[in-house]
Amino acid sequence: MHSMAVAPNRRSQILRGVLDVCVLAVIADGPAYGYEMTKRLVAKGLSPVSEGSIYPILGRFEAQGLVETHREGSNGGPPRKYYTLSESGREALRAWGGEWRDVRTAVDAVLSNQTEVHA
Amino acid sequence: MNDVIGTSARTWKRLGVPREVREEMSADLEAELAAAAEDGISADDFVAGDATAFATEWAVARGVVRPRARVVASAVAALVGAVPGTGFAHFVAYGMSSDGFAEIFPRVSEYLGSTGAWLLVVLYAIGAAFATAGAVAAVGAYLRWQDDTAVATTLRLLAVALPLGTAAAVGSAMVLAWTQKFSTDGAVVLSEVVTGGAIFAAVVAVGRVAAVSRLAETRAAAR
Repeated sequence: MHSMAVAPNRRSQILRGVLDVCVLAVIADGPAYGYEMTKRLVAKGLSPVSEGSIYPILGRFEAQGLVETHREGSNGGPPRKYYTLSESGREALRAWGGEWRDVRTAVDAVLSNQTEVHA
Repeated sequence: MNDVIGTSARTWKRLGVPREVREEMSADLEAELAAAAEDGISADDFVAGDATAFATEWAVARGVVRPRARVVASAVAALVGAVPGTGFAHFVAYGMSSDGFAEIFPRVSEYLGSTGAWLLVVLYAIGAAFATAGAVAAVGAYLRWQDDTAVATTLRLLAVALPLGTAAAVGSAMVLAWTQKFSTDGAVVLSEVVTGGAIFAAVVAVGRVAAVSRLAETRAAAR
């Protein structure tokens, strides 16, 4: 009963752990402003906890030099800040992506055994 | 939308984010909220219903939070926190040797007057420790209330410096009392309290400045 109650939160906790590498990946797809990245994530099936949850991640990327930024005007609205990956960002994406794939493979192996037992 | 931008701007100002960075982040936020609004997403949903938390997390992640000095307020908080311990020590110094105390507790007064000198020293030490702990706790409570980013560093420094500061404050007050032949005249006692309090507050102020500087250096080195 209790585990069912916390189940929806589990998905957001998992997402929080990998959201940074996902954000790096969508920036690698092409320069984007913050909200555009959120839309790219949603289009690929990932819904961040809130639209604003990627900004702290972008702030950290900026501080760590993983992204470069420039401003472009929008249609009638205020100029938007666009992010592109720096060379450090590309290296981080390769490293973090590899870490995620390792974890995913291990978790899949564990879960596939459980599936066979209960099948 | 304006509520979220206004709350965020106030939060950044309270966190000590430099003005030019605040203006840049406000403009970025406005542009992002406008883009989200085109898709029907409200500003409140955008920040998950908590603009303060959103603004804080963003600024901290960017590394633009600059701890405010809050030197005077920290010193005042320390003095207020030290009042109970100081009051206890003054009771030991003046109250327990008073005629009134002797009337109420004649046997205790007799004991203190003969063989209990060591007990007085212990009670003084307890009062000083009580004042020091109270000061550190009060500074910590004040800084946490202000969402200060240098709380831990400040408290670590005060935990080391304030016992020495307390000793210096008590020592100075005692020297002053000695020069006045341990007079219980109100003006003399007040001058002792002011002298001790000034030294105590100065140590807190120096500790706070050192903590803020150390944190700023650490952040600069991390970038």
